[in-house]
Amino acid sequence: MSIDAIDITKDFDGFVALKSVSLSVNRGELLALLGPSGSGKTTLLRIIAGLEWPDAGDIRIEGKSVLRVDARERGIGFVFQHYALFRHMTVFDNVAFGLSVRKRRERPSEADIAKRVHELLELVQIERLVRRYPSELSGGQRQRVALARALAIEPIVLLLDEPFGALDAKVRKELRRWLRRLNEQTGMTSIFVTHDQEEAMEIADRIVVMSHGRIEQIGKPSEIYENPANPFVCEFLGNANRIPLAWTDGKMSHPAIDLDAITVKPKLVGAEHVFVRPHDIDLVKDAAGAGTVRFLSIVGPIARVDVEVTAGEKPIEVEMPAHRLQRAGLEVGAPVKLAALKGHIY
Amino acid sequence: MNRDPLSVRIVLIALAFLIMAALIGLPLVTVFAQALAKGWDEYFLSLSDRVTLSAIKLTLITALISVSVNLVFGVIAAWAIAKYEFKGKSFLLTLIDLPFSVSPVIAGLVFVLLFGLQGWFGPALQGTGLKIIFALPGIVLATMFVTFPFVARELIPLMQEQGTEDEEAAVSLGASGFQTFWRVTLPNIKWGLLYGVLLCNARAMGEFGAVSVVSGHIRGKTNTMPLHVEILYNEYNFTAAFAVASLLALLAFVTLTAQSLLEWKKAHA
Repeated sequence: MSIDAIDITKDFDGFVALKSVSLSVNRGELLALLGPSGSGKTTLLRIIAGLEWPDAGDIRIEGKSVLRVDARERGIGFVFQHYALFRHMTVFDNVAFGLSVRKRRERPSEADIAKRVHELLELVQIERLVRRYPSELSGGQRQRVALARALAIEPIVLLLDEPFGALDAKVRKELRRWLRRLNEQTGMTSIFVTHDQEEAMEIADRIVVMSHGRIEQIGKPSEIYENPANPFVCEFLGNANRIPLAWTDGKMSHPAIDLDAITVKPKLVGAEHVFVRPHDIDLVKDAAGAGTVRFLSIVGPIARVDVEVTAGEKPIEVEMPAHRLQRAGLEVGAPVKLAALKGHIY
Repeated sequence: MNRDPLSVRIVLIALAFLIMAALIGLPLVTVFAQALAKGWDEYFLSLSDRVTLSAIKLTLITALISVSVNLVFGVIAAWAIAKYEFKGKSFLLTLIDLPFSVSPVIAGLVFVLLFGLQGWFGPALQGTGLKIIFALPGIVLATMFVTFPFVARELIPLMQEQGTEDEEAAVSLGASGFQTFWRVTLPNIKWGLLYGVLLCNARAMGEFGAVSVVSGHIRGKTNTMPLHVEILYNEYNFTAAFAVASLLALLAFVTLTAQSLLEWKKAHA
C-alpha cells in the first residue's frame, strides 16, 4: 500500500516534534526514517500507525485519509522499540493475540489460529519456543516474537520503531537481512525508524533523513551518501572532515591540504567550509608536508589515521586500505602531505 | 560483607526480636488468652450472640461495599494518573493521599457536617427519608474515605513503570478498549491490585475512628466489630470483647500471610 504524509505538524506542549513534514512511500517499499534522537522520526511513525494524532496535516493510505480511522482499525502492524510483548502470555498467545481479539464473525477457528501461529513462528525461526514466556527469551528471540505478532494480523503496512537497536551486533545483522528478505518476499510496504546510518544504508530502498522535526533529504542510500543535500546530512551519514577555507580570487585553499581536485560552482565561492569524507583524502609521507600523524589504527582491512594540520584544532581523519598504509611505512609523528580528492561545499 | 563483630550482630538481632515480641507479640497473645480464658464453649457462645453476629455482618457488608468501590475508583484514578498527562495531576495525587494525613475522626466529622440533621444536606435528606448518618451509608462513606488511597497508591507506581506500550501494542493488533483492559492491563497489574485490595480490606474492617463518629453506636444496628469490642469492654464483658477482638486479630494474620505470599508472587511474576 502506498502511504502519503501531507504537511504533518505535531507539537508536544511547546516542543515541536514535526514541522510540516510531507512524505510519499511507494507500494512495497522498504523505507528508513533516519535521524538523531529528537528528530521526530518516531513521532511520524506513531502518527502513521494512529497511536498519535497530528495537529495539522493528513495521512493517506492508498490515497484515502485515515486520520478518522482508529489505530485498531487501520490494520497496520507495529513493532515497538522495546517489543512490548505481553509478559503474562506465552509466545503462542502473544502471536495469536491479534487474531483472537477479532469479532466472532471474523475470527478464525482455534485450529486455524494455531496453524497460522505455527507458520509465523516458522517464518521467524523460533517455532521451538512456542510455550515459553517473554521473560525466558533473549533479546533477538523477543524481537522475532514481536515481528510474528505484528505479522499475524496480515497488516497492510509494517512499521518498526528502532527494531534492532537493543540487540547485539551479530543478531542485529542477521535480523536486518531477514527483514530485507521479508520485504522482498511479501512485497509489504515497510517503514522502519533508526538512528544507525549503517543499518539504513544496508537494507533500505530509500532513506528519509530527519532532524529537528524536518526532513533534510530523501533518496536512495547511494544518492544520499554521494550527494548529501546539506552539512547535516553529510556529517550524519558517515564521517566527514569539516575543513575551513581561505579564498583568493575565487580560488579556495587551505594551508596544509591540497584542494585542487575539488571544483566549485561559482555561486558557492566564498563558502566557509568544505566537507571531505575520510576516504576521499589522499595521504603521502613527505618530509615537507604540513601535517603530522597523531594516531594510527589498523584493525581489519581499513586503516584510520588522524593527522594534525593546525596545532590545537581537531585532527583530520583519513581512511585508507590497510595494506597501503603498511606499504607507506607511516608511524605516529611522521610528517605527511594531504590532498582532498572530493568534497562537498554548501 | 558486614564487618560488625558477631556479638554486636547477635545483640542487635535479639533486641529487634525482643522489641517486636514485647510490642506486638505479647498483646496478640493476650487477646487470644483472654478470649479463651473461660474455655472454647464460652468463646463460641459469646461470638454467637445476636448483637455480636450483627456487628460481624455489618463489618463484612461495609468492607465488601467500600473495598469494591475503592477497587474501581482506585483503578480509574491510577490509570488516569499513570497513563495520561494533564494539568492538576499533582493536585489529584495530593487529594488521593489526603485520607492518610487526616485524622479519621475528622473524616467522620466531615460526613456528619455534610449529612447530619444540622448539616448542609441534612434538611434535604430529611424530606426523602434517606438516612446517611447513624446508618449504613454513613459508615460505608466514612470507611471508603479512610481506605481510598490503598488501591490507587499501590497501582500508580506499578502502572507508571509499565508505561503504555503494551496497551498500544494491543490496540494496534485490533483489540477494543475493553479487550485491552481485560486481557493486557489487568493481568499486568493483578498482583499489585490484589495487594492493594488486601490492605484496603484490612483497614476497612478495622477502622474505628471515622466509623465511630458517624455510627451512633446503636446496638445490633450500627455497630461494627471494632465499635462492638469497645462497648463490650466498657461493660466489663472481657471474654466477649476479646473474642470479637480475636477475630480482628485473626484477620490481621490472614492479611499478613496473604501479603507475604503476594510479595513473593510479585517478585517472581
